[in-house]
Amino acid sequence: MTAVAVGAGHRMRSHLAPRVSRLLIYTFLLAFVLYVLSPFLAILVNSVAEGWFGGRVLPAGLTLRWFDWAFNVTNLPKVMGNSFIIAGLTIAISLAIGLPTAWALGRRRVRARNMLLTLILLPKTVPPITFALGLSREFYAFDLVDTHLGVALAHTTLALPFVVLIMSATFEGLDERVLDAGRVCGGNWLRNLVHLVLPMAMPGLMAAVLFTFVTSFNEFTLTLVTYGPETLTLTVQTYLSIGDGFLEVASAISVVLLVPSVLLLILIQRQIRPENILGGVKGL
Amino acid sequence: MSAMIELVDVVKRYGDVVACNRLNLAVEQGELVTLLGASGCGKTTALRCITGSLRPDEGRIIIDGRDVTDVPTHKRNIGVVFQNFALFPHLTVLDNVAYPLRVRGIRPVVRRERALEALRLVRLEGLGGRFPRELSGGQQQRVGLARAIVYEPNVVLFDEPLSNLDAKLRLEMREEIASLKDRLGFTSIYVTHDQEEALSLSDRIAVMKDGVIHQVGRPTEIYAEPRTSFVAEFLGNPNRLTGVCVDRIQDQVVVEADGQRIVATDASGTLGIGDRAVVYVRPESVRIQDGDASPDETTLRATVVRSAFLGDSTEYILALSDKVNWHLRLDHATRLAVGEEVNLVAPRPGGRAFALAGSPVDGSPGVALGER
Ligand SMILES: Nc1ncnc2c1ncn2[C@@H]1O[C@H](COP(=O)(O)OP(=O)(O)O)[C@@H](O)[C@H]1O
Ligand SMILES: [Mg+2]
Repeated sequence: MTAVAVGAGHRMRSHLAPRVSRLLIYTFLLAFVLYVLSPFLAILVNSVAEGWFGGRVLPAGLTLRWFDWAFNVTNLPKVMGNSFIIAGLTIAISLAIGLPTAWALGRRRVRARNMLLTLILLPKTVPPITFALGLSREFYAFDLVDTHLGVALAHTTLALPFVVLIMSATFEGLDERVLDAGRVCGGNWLRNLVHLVLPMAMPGLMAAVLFTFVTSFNEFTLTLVTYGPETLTLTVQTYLSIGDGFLEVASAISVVLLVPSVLLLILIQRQIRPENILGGVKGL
Repeated sequence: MSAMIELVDVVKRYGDVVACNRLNLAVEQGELVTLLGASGCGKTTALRCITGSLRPDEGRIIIDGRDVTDVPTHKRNIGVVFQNFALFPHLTVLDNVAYPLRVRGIRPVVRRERALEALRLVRLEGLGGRFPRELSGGQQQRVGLARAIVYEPNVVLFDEPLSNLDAKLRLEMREEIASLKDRLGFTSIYVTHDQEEALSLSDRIAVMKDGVIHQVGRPTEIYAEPRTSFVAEFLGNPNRLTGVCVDRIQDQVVVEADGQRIVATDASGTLGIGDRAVVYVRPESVRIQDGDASPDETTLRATVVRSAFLGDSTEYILALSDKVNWHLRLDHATRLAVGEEVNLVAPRPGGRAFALAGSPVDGSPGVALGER
């Protein structure tokens, strides 16, 4: 008799409790996702909406006019080109400085290694606008304002820590004994670099390049103090369009701006897993 | 015969640690010489000096008559099988094996042909398309083996190639390496801490301790006539008797401990009467007395302390005194009971005696050895 009662109570709890908690979890998750996604949704709708204001739930109609404006009135192709050129330059500079630094930090015994890492992280820890202010002074001094190289150099200060952190961890993970095997097999340092180090470090390198690209592509604060008419980027153009009162055009530009980030997100989901980056061999 | 690999006074230091201390070794053409020693004695360091991964602080490395001390690794044309396999994780098995040919600029068609042939030699045909992580440890080491021999180097070095494999596989791979060496005829230095591996595989063994080679010789020689107490102790897990030298007949000495006497060869030839000495006795060289001892044997008294059934035999722990335990393996024809008193018969000489510097006679590490 008692045993049955206990059993029944047990069953009730075990059947109801998970259902309730699962419901709660899903509700919170849904709320969170909606909260995070709603701005993007607003931008997406805004970029193709006609007469979507004054508290209307749905826009009056759909149009591609804002994209047309973005392309023709604000010269979107050139702005987009600037964004790509600057991102490309940022990648090139960040790798040129970052790879040797990361190699030294990851492969060699470097004294004051932690202090070096802190130094490299410095631009990331101060308020961006403070950093931008100081940077702009220097850029005027060196005549770097409104040059692709100048903007890219500004972006590099933000991307470089990524590159150094990711790549020093990647290089540190390379098995010295495997590189030794490469030399024993008859490969000189160049072959070791091309045939072994590069492919083994590729997942980390891809991550570094992608993060650098997105960092530059999405950068706003530092761009604002270093850009000029010739180096207008997508982020700054979005900002200017908002200032001009063309919310729909700004939204259209933002949609274009979003594409690389979304692609990166998908890539991260698919590719960049710890086991891919480390590329280990069984039993080690 | 000429030396294929020669180490001349090779010294390598890491700060205060002398990893290799004046190594001298000449390996003849086609010979397999083992560097045998405990972990940390400098075996890998010696090997890395030969491959060129390390530059010795002093001394020369000569391979095939050429002084390669200052030749970079990739120009030494040496095959190496690594302890941890050290395969290229991003390349397939076939590409791993073909890599040495690739860096030598050999045409892809020929390269593939020869890599496949090498894979056949290590019995891995059909697995060329896999990646290293998709293979078992034994298979990975076979790939390592194929990669080391594919370009037919004169010299193949092995750095504890079996230590990452389980016991059964180790035996199998040992055979594999021996037969491969017979077929291909390369010259080898083989590094291991496993004496059984060394004894079974080597033409000669160099026993190392703390960066120093203690003795070089054929396995039977090293085993039967160790020249230092370290070598005697390191090989074959011998019994010990620590005592005082009480008599001397030519190159043999009589050592007495707790009233027990044994005749032993004076390994260093320096023992005088009254000197403290340690005698190492191979377990297989003593027997339990059933009749009378012959005149050229000596008898020791012992009490059975413990026995352990091992399947094909039984191991007995025998106390020669309250401080000295010996171990002895007997087949099942002889059964001893715990507490039983037995007579142990040792030949003359029954072991090898070494001078014992410093430590007191009855410090008797023999106890620890027997009770292990
Ligand atoms: N890179 C190194 N730096 C400092 N000490 C080392 C280094 N490599 C080896 N040693 C030391 O040198 C000695 C010999 O090492 P090793 O040649 O690896 O021994 P084994 O291969 O016989 O185990 C050890 O005491 C080890 O600690
Ligand atoms: Mg070693």
